[in-house]
Amino acid sequence: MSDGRDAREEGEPALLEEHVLRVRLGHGANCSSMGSVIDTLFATAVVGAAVFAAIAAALSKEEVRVAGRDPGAARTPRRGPPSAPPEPEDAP
Amino acid sequence: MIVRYEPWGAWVKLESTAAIAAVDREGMRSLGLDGGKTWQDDPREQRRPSAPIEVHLAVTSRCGAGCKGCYLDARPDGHEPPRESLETLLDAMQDAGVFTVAFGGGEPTTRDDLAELAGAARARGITPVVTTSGLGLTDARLERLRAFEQVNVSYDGSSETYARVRGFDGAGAAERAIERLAAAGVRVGVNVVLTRESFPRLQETLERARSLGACEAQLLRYKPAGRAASLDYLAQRLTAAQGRAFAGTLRALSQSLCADGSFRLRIDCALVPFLSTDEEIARDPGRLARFGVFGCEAAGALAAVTATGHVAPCSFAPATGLPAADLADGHEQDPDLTRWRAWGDAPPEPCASCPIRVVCKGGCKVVSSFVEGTHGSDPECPRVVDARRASA
Repeated sequence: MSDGRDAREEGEPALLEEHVLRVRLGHGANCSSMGSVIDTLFATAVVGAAVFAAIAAALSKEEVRVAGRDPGAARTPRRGPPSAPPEPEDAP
Repeated sequence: MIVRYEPWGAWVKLESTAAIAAVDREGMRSLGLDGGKTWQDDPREQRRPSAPIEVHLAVTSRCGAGCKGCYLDARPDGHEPPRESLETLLDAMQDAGVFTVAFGGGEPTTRDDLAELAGAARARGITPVVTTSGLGLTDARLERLRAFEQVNVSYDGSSETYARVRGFDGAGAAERAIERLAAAGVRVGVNVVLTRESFPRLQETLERARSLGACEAQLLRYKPAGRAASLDYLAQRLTAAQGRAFAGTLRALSQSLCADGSFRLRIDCALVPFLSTDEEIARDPGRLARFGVFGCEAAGALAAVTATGHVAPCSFAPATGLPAADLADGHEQDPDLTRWRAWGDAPPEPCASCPIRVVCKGGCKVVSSFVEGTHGSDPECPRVVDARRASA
């Protein structure tokens, strides 16, 4: 449970959003099957890009907590620009 | 934000906006974060979540509504686990790194300690949401629902449509619940079960829900589980023509209801197969994944926990022998959960060559198990129907 903000002062959301593989909007409240927002799928490319840009911006600002049993995860200094994002089929 | 490291990067639950994002390793490193030993393995070896992201928790199996298609076969004298037991399960979810818990049942609002349970989830970093029928929503029950991030009310349409889906007319109670929750400042959505009766009235149903204050609708495929696991399922399910019209209907509904961003449309995992023959989606199937659409995530990103405290692949599937208290350690190893996941990793044709296979994962196994007696391709998927027709 720690704040990773210091290490991210040089973060560049414009690059980061290329490394956002998936975005699931909202916290759907159905208790019987898993729901996914679908209207963004049919929205314009501009709307879609805005969603990813907003997520990247939020990622760069929020304090960090690690979920689950801490697997030895740690913060590290930024190591330079991110490399190319994976192909869609490699997405989780 | 809450970070859960995975071999390929991390799932991240944002707190300033209601969203979950999958970010690759390089993206996480650019934020100054590192997955440690979780990242020592080849990221391509495991693409699925290491544990559920979302858990559906039956906090009771008591319910007096008597919906004819209840997937849980909930009854007025159903089992209601004590609060302490549920808090133990929330501990297990926290250990597993679960992001969201959806309380259901049974009718969750019958519990006097519902707000405390929601608070217990929040205290563990888990976002609590809940589904209710809206029946019997007293002032006290409404107050308890304020503890949740979102409340969904089951609402399949106006009186006649609602009655055809559930066997009684609870539309008025549901509409009043939506209106009162919205007026109280509670974020409220609706769950709409799609049957061949409710599908033609969907636009009208969603417009009504929105006018009452709902900010979101989740469309649910009717599934043959619990009291719906009967021959009546065959008369209730979407027709083949409705299934083929589904993607176009979604597109039209999105344009007419969601353009200003004040109302969202969601589909459930079991409806994804009906997108498989849509030409626009087929041109860019990766878009489904990028926008976080999940198909069958039973035993993967999703787990269900029964009122007796056992893990099931999803709310409609039979429970395994895995106690939910062992969720963090047992989810990956349990043989029944492993079997559910394995099929989607290497499905046969026609799923193997389907452009949306990575997301869809073969459609609803509860449907295939009921209709064909096999854990296989969804027999109601239009692509599966076409392939079988071509090979006949």
